[in-house]
Amino acid sequence: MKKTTGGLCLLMTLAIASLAAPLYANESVVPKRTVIASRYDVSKEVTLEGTVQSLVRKPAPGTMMGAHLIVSTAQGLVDAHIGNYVAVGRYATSFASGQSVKLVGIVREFNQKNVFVVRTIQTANRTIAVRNDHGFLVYPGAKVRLLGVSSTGGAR
Amino acid sequence: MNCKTLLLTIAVTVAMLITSNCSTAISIEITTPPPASLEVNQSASIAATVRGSTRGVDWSCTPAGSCGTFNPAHTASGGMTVYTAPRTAGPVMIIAASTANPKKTAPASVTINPVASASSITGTYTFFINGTDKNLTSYSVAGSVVIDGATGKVTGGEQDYFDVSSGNIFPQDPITTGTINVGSDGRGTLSLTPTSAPGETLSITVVNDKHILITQFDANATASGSLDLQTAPTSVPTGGNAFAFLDTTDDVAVGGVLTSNGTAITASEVDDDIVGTATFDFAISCTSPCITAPDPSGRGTITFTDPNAGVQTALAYYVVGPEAFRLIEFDGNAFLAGSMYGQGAGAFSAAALGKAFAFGQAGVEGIVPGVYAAAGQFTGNGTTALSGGVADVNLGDGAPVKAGALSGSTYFVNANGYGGITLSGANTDGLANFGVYLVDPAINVADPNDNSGGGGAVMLDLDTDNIGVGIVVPQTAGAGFSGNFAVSLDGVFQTNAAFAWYGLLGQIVSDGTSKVTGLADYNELNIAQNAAVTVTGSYAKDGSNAGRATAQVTINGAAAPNNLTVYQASSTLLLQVDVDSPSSGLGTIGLGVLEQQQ
Repeated sequence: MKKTTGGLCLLMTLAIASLAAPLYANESVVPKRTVIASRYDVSKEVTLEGTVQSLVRKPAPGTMMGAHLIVSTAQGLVDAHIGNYVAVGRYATSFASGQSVKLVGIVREFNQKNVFVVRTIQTANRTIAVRNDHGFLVYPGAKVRLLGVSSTGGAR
Repeated sequence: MNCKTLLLTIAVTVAMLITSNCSTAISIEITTPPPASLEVNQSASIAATVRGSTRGVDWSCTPAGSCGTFNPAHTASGGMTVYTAPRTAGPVMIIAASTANPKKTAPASVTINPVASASSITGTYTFFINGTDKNLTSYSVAGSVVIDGATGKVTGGEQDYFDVSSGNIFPQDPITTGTINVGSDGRGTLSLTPTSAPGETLSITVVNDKHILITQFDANATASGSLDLQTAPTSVPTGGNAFAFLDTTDDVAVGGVLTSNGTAITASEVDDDIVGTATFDFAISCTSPCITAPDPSGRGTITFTDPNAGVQTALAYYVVGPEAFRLIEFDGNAFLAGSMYGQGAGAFSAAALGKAFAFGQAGVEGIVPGVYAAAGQFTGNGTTALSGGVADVNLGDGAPVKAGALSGSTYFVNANGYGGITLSGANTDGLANFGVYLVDPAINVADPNDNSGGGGAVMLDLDTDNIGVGIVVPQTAGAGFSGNFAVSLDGVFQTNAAFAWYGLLGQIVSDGTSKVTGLADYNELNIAQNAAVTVTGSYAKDGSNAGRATAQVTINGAAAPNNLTVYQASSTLLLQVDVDSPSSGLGTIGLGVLEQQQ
């Protein structure tokens, strides 16, 4: 009997605790976060291979801001947007005319024209990260990097 | 002289006699005089009564061309006209003249007072500007500057500076010289000469003697912020503080609340978004001393480690007042900049957001075109949900800018002021998670030296495709919009003929019903620095959403106006977002404020 009472006390304590939890939670309720799917859809990425025809550091108005790589491919000339960091400033990369490159990215419409939005550029000796898998341009000098968290946007 | 000529002569003579008699009987008096003084651009209703004639009153003033305007310029006897003072200060003579006999006049003198003067801008001011350099990479400056407005000189100061394209980071850079001038309408120029960093030419618009909007107005960069009187230079962040920082180079936002004992961070509740991956509700760490006391310029440091970022963050803070600090990263690990505000006695709850608020935010966006801006308003129900609200989001990607219904969205506020809003059931173009970090209700986050307070919060957008920073300010129902305002708008535009990052700062006057007019400095980076361009526009209230208005504003005589949505927080503060996004990649994205000059 004594043991049973003890058990009930434990249950009561647990019950009180379980009741208390929501009451406390009302003081600091954290709603579930919403995760929005990235508009940069890696599942729609394509790979293009070709040779560099030109690097356009200052593109014409009406085109996507930032540097463009004009690449000659088997399908014709491709206007590939590579952003400023790769082409301008202290971390700029040089591209030679005729240089072979492999581009990974997606096709987006910009001002009623298709532009190839590059995520990575692979050259003979290295791979350059232009964007991350959410489409954000990657700063080559970045020291900040994501460590050990789930890429959910909804850790809670 | 024949009979016909004789009759004509008699008629003319009689008419002249009648006119002569009437003329001698005419008198005129200003019966509703103007006030003895008016601020530039302000209006007053005035009237004059003519006796001896029914032809009314013609209004004029001297010095001609710079003495103001009358609407209408002709009134019936006793009828009211609205006199609007000129943009420049000085004495003006208003003249009411009989229309029947213009020689019969009644004068009234009015002194037109300036909105501000350089002489009243004296002391040590803390400033910050965030924006884009000429190579289209991130650029920020924060510092303090000693201004002697009476002489128009900058006599000293200190600043922290970073420019990503050059890789230059100049912490604790002494400011050696500079100048300031302020016009009658509060617009002016502040030039600063740091020791290491390039000189900065800033356009300024005075809101009040303690709070001045600024924007860089030279070919090096466009960057906007404010200049605020430093009221307590020895202040160290202590107690609870709400903060929000953004790094547009690394695509990182960090914000939350932290508790400090003056040297260590003793508690914290923080969110971040690193290149599109948001992490919520974690603690930052540091090795004491995390916080150093400010130097004589009001500059101290805060150092912490965000466990998700992998690097330590060292920020310089510049004191505005005991509960307001401007921060800029100086370690080169990243390029964060932002503000931190005290939380007063703390003890927040969900009730703190249980009323109406306006908000504005801007930041980076993935893919096209890489930047976004949004503004809106919401009302919390005091517990867990938004009972109403609307927002305008411009991603510049060609999709129609949405004004989503925010009711049904949820929110929370912890006791330490750490909170958040989760948008749901609303078409908000990918904005879903806001970090909201409440400040001392005695603080005005738009003007930290404004003792009337109001509270609110700093905010982050913590989403997959958008990373941004902004403010949340209380919204007063039924507020008017009349008088002189400092106006800012910053962002990027793209047409088939040109593109540029831009910064606009100036001064407008609102007629209180539907029109605004003014002048502004307009920096179209890498195109031109356009000084004192005209800004004219009209606005109309949104009948379905009190507090929201749409506006069409023409800048510098452009062929087409900018379309703006304006959210009114109060009669002295409005937030505006440019919503021109006609097709993918083309249009204008921008965010700005309107602050009444006082």
